[in-house]
Amino acid sequence: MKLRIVVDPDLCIGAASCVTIAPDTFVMNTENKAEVLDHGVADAPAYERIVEATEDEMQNIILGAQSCPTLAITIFDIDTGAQLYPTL
Amino acid sequence: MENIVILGGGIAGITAADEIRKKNAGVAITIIEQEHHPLYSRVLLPHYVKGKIPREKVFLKTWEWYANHNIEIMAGVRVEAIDIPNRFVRTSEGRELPFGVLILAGGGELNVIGGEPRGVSYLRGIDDADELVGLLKETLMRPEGDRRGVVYGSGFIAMEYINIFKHFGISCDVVMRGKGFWSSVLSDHSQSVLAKKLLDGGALLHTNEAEPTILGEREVSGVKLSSGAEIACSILGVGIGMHADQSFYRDCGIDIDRGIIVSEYLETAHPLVYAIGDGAQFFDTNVARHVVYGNWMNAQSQGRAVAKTICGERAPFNLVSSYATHLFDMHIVFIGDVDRKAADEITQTVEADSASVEEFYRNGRIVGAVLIGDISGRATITARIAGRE
Repeated sequence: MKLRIVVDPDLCIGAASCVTIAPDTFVMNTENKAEVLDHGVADAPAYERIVEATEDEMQNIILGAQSCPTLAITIFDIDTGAQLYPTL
Repeated sequence: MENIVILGGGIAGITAADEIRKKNAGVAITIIEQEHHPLYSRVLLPHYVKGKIPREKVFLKTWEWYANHNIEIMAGVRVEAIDIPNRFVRTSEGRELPFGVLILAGGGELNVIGGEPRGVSYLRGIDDADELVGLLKETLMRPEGDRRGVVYGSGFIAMEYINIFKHFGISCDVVMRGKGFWSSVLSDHSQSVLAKKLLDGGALLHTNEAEPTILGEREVSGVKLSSGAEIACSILGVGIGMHADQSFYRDCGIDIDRGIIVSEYLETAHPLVYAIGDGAQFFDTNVARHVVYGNWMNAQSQGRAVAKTICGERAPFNLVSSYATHLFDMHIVFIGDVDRKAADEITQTVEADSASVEEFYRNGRIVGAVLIGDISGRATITARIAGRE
């Protein structure tokens, strides 16, 4: 499935819990904000990225988002348009 | 599985309840929480106070969530006694609640100062944040030169007050007992980098001070320092840490030091009694000693870990946790065990005018680090502490 993963840099405080849980998807930049990777790779720095993920990968990415103490990470299912996290 | 009682409805306790429920649909789970709110993020409180997010965004759960997950929440209730041999807790409502499994997730007790006229502010919970929002509004109605705040403290909460006052253009005097920020943790150089940043940002620093005397009877009008100097202010932000309620737990027969003593499995000495979160002093396998970490990542991860153990997937808790904050635009990151007294050796690997990095070693291994102004080594240091590099 295709996920759109978005980090709000204004909310991110650099706790880095997302990096601990999902290091293939999140990385801290020099501003102490989380950026989004695609399976450990980034063509350019980005706070938003579309990533193809397996079911297990998706569960771990959501777990990473859930660990954020400021709810700075939002995840959408591109195919259905549904917001997977935070659940509304 | 026997019924589970969780003392504390913060992120540690709620994560434990949520994860147990995912693994076991039938077991009875009861959470006893002193506050009257569903789970919210304490980390988001400064964002709310600064007006960056609306109040409702601070909340992570609704009351319906507890009902929908068949988790009983007793809000606004304190635990007055824990009877380990007979396996029940007695609440402030006089109820005796039996437990099969007990999770202590209550966090620590806030350190407070003498006197609490209006204007003395703490930032422990959302009620404090609500009050601070009101105080800030009143202060901002004053003439521009008469908007004054004082911060008492030198740690993470003090940093939040300093940043909040800066955000609103309120003058800021910082009063602390030690000779600088985190004076028992940081080197002189690290403290000087932070002090310079503070002064460059327009705040004033008063070090080696006793607890300031609060001026004003019903409302704070200022503080008086040990030198006799008086500083006018309408808000006194206090951030002087937490402590463990030692006598309460000791009376209940639970081992406690700086926190409730637990193993790397988060188990106390009593069968099926666990402690997690800010109030737990757990054996950290990464640094080979018992530590207390008061941060969100640690609390949430321990909630998840204890749920696994309780549900039969027993494994040692393993996490290199960190705590990030900032002083104006300067980033500050604490990683792992940064107890200066417990370190054999501390190396200053970055020593610049606007940056400082210290690494803490014990028995030849890196166990912690503090990064100020230069956080580029964060990932590498975390991996080294975890033994991955």
